[in-house]
Amino acid sequence: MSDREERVPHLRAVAVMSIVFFALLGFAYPGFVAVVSHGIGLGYQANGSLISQNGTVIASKFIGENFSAPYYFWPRVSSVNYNSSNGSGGEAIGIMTQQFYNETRNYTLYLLSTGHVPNGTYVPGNGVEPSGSGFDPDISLGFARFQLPRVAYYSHLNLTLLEKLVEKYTTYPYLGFIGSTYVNVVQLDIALHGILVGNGTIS
Amino acid sequence: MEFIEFAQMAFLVVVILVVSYYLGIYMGRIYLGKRSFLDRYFGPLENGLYRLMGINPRHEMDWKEYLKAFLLTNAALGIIAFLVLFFQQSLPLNPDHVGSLPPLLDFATAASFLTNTNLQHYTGELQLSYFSQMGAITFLMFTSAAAGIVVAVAMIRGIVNQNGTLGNFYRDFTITITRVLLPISIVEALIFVYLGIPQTYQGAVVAHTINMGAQTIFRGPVASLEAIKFLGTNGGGFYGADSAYPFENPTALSAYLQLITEASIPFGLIFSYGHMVRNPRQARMLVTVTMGLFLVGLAIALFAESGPNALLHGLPINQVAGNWAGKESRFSVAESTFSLILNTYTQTGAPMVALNQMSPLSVASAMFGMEVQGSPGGAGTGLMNLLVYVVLAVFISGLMVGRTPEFLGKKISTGVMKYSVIFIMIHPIIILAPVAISVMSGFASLSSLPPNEAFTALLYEFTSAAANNGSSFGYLLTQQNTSFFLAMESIVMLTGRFAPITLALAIAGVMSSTKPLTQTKSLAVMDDPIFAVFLFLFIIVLSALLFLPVLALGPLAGYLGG
Repeated sequence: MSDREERVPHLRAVAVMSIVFFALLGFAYPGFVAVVSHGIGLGYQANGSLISQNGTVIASKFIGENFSAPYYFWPRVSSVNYNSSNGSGGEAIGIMTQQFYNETRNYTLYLLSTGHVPNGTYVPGNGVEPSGSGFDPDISLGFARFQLPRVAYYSHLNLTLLEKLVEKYTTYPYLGFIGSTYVNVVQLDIALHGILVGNGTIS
Repeated sequence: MEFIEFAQMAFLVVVILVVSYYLGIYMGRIYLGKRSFLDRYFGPLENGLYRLMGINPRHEMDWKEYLKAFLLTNAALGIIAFLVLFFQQSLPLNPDHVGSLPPLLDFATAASFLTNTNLQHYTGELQLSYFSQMGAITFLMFTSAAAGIVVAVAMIRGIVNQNGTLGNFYRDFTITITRVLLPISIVEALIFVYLGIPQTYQGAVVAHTINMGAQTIFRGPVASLEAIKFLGTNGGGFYGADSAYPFENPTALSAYLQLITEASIPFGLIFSYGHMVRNPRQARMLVTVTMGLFLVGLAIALFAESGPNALLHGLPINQVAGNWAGKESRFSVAESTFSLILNTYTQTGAPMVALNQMSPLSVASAMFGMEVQGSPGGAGTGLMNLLVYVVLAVFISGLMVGRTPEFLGKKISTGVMKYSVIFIMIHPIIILAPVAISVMSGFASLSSLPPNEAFTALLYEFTSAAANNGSSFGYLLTQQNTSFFLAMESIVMLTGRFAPITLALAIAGVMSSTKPLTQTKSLAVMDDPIFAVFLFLFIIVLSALLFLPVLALGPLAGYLGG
């Protein structure tokens, strides 16, 4: 059992191991991933999936924005109002509280009163309940369809065209079952914006 | 719940079991020192490192030396991370020019990531430089996972060995990183970039949006952090919203990859255990028990989230999909709920939901997972907890049938029992005592949340800290009580990590010095299917006895009372 009496230089071992792994895991590894991902043609994603128009960055495909004009599709309720200098996250108030009830009721009634929808229409829960991140770029297909009458009214575009546009930016579950069915409202509104500018509806 | 959501749940569970099995067997083989084709590539690098460290990787350590190496390494890692955070303002790779954090927050953050907890009381995109996100956060995510895993491996060796040794800490730690964590993370990070997670050193970009003026889009080396965040059951996000944030989890595919990854080491190590003790049947039994506990928790949460919110009944809202609050549109409600439960039962703590807006019943189920800690628990620490449960269950069932309690052929000695009971008692003490102190001192009432939610958030906070989970409610901390919570949580996280690990290594040391009984005298309790049922109920009853009263005051009251 001479092995058991072997003296191990613990301090040196710990110091060397910590510094080597600090360099390897903290810097070499992220750097390697960055270099390779740009090298194999993933630069668009690696830089944040940015959408540019005339050389100016106008959005990221994945970061929700607050489209509030009535001729756009509106996004989900956000705890930070899509302002990234406020940080990110969900809302504070629990779903079994009176305050949540009041806020949800008021927004539901607002959506119905501005929606140009027939009496007795129900608002999809996705449209009135806040997102988890505050930057959800997507809405459910149901909430997009709920907004069609309002968008049609204010954009002076016909419903068929708008339905096609919604369909174009809808993602269905992968392999038929992974994920939900949702509409990317950032891409949808940018496309809509292009049409409205082309028609001269907005400048 | 729709049929498609059942398909999602079933698919995730099956893939998790298959991936864990193969990863677990692979890990079992490397810890046994079996040859593999990877030796040709990694061998020279590892040997070079051992030479630089001045150690002999074949030197076997007893439990005290293993513990000493473990604690010294953790001290060094913690100091490096603290220094990186402390000097963040003067260090490079800070394109957004973020300032320094308060020193207490630096300390709490270093403690949080060192202990694999990943509780975060900063907003990553606003308050950390890229240097800190990599040199403190990503770095500790690897090392804390490796440290947890090697403790589990040492425990398994304690069960197998008969000469008092547990292996070589430095070798175990090194090969865990070079052969498991790093290669998988590299591949996974590249897949994440492909799916839309950023990986850049450029600073934030200002988007000139079409309808809301300027919007700052924060970027950074996110994908490399995400990969190890899940593989190592860490859970601390690059952004404040963690895995709900679209840049951390852009599509359902990234979500599935993350969920499968975070479960693969906790479940995998149970298969490694079966492989290393040459009793795969035992591993299947333990996986069945832990998966059973997880599925019970999942069923409760799915019940709570997929139904309509009774409070909103009567409003013209279509609630067919369930509770959308706190969830992202790209994931189904069931997938989001699965993520909450898996993230608390594996101690990862990066759910893709906002906890404040989950149903209180789901929150109770999530907390139960953090109270049990072994279903399947965090990377390494989960198996450690599970083995202690097995020791206690074997002891009690042995007493019930009046035979000598034995663990895989070894008599359970007084020493093992003593350490196991202390081990089990630590968890409730470091949760309940700080909760009581916070309430009595009035610091908890400084929160801006309504009273019942504030108590639930408080209980959740310390449960998460003690279990080294890291998920948390938002808005519990306010300016007046932040320092109190940072100090208390640091103590809880460090105790919750290092005290049980010390005891686990002591248990391993005692078992490693125990000679197995001869077959005639032993009673193979553990191979009986009845034992699986007993263990399942034992874990539930033990945790319920310890925690049901506080759960009733917090989330259960919130669920019943509204």
